[in-house]
Amino acid sequence: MKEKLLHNILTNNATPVEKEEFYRHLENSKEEQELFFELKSLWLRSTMQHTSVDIDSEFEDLWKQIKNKKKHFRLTLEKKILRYAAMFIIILGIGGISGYFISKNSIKYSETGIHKYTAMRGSVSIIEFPDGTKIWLNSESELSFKEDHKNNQRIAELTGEAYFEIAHKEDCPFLVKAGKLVIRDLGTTFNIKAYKDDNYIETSLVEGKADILTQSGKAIIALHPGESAMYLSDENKMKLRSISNNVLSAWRNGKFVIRDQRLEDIFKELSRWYGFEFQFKNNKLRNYRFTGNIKKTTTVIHVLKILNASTEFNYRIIENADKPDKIIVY
Amino acid sequence: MSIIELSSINNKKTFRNIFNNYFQPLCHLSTYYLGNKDEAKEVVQEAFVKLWEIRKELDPNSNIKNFLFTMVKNNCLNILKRRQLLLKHHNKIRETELRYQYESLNRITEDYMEIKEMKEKIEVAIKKLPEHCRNIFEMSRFNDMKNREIAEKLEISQKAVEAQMTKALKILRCELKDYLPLIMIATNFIK
Repeated sequence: MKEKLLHNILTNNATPVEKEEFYRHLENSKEEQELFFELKSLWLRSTMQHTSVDIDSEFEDLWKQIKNKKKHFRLTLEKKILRYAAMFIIILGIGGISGYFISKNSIKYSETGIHKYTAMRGSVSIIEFPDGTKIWLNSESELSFKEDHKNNQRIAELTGEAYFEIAHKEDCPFLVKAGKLVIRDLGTTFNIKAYKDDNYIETSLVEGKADILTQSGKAIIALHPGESAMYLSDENKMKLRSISNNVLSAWRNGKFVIRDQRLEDIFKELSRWYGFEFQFKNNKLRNYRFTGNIKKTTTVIHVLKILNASTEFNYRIIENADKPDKIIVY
Repeated sequence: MSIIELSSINNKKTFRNIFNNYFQPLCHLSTYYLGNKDEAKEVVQEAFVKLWEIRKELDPNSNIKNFLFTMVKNNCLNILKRRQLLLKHHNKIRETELRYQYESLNRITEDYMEIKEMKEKIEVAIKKLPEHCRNIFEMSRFNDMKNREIAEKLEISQKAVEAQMTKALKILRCELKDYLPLIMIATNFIK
């Protein structure tokens, strides 16, 4: 068993690359597996802390839960529906390094009525609302949602990328705040890409009608199906172009669909999904273009091989035990 | 602690004692296997809530310790299984990792709950580690420091830290082999 890896594996500090190596090694030997289980059990027991937790406040917490449970049983059926029927949420994970799971935490009814959803790196989350609205959240994206009954509107705030299928509500428009822009629509299907570390916000309309406004509510442009508006924040400009549908939905289906994209932009996308850092030593390479489909479940090494096959560049991977791996392209 | 006391007295105080004794070790177990502190705490809280709810119906001879352990273990196993199902075919590494996590937890038996005994034995075994080795082991174990951080603090190489950690595990494994209900392996520790 590799000395170097063992501690990282036991403390869950190993990188995905390290894990791959470690488990591959384990699969080959029943003995090594047994040894691993033994060490895991040993580590479990020997790392049990002495009292470092405020046991009194923990108990208070628990006791509150017990009391609340009793209270709930006394609620009438009507009141129960009012309290919990605000939102029904399904969050599913598709692929990714970190994986995802159905979390009960997200069904907490918050005081302010603002609900937050997150998709972790390497995951896609799907949120379904009782009115039929469906939102897909891409890797490393966050969406907060609120029903603004006073002004009769539904407001969401997005960082990252999301695909919206909004249920039509005549008197209650759906607004999405993304960076400096507000996208307003009545009941349509569209995609917004607004990652914090990108210098653009891309809004693509698949179906229906949507307006793009400034934060203060001034109309900038009205989108028609098949159009995509790219807002470049550095230049404060909006560019319009047409989109091809299957490119848009690809990320929801667990694929990287690349159409004549610059290698640097491709790496940016990959680094988000896989969680590595990269550096281009050869500036010419940044503008190399690539077209192709790659499944998101492919390992990084294979993705590099696929890109390398058609675009001829060299790369070196620096594995780090305690921070993201780095890929150098030259 | 007799269950008869608990159910007949209907006593918050007795319940609190049980909580004080077992809450943390159970949280340690669930956090270790679920990786998520909040989720882990929830699982343990659920078990205690359940215990309180059925306190009157519990068989007078039942072992509360084991009851709590079994609830927590099974809930964790279910969560791991659910994660596995969601990931099926999507991520080989994560799938493998989960598989080992599940199997590892599966093998943990109720004697994990012999907490006082276990703690004592572990402390005794740790004392037997050579000083430099023990120092490093405790930094990792108690202060949650990564190998790199330990190496920086002690101004030695990370490889040296890794070697000491390996040595520590080797010695502890030897010291505790009669106590831990594990399958003994006659191979070398490190290949």
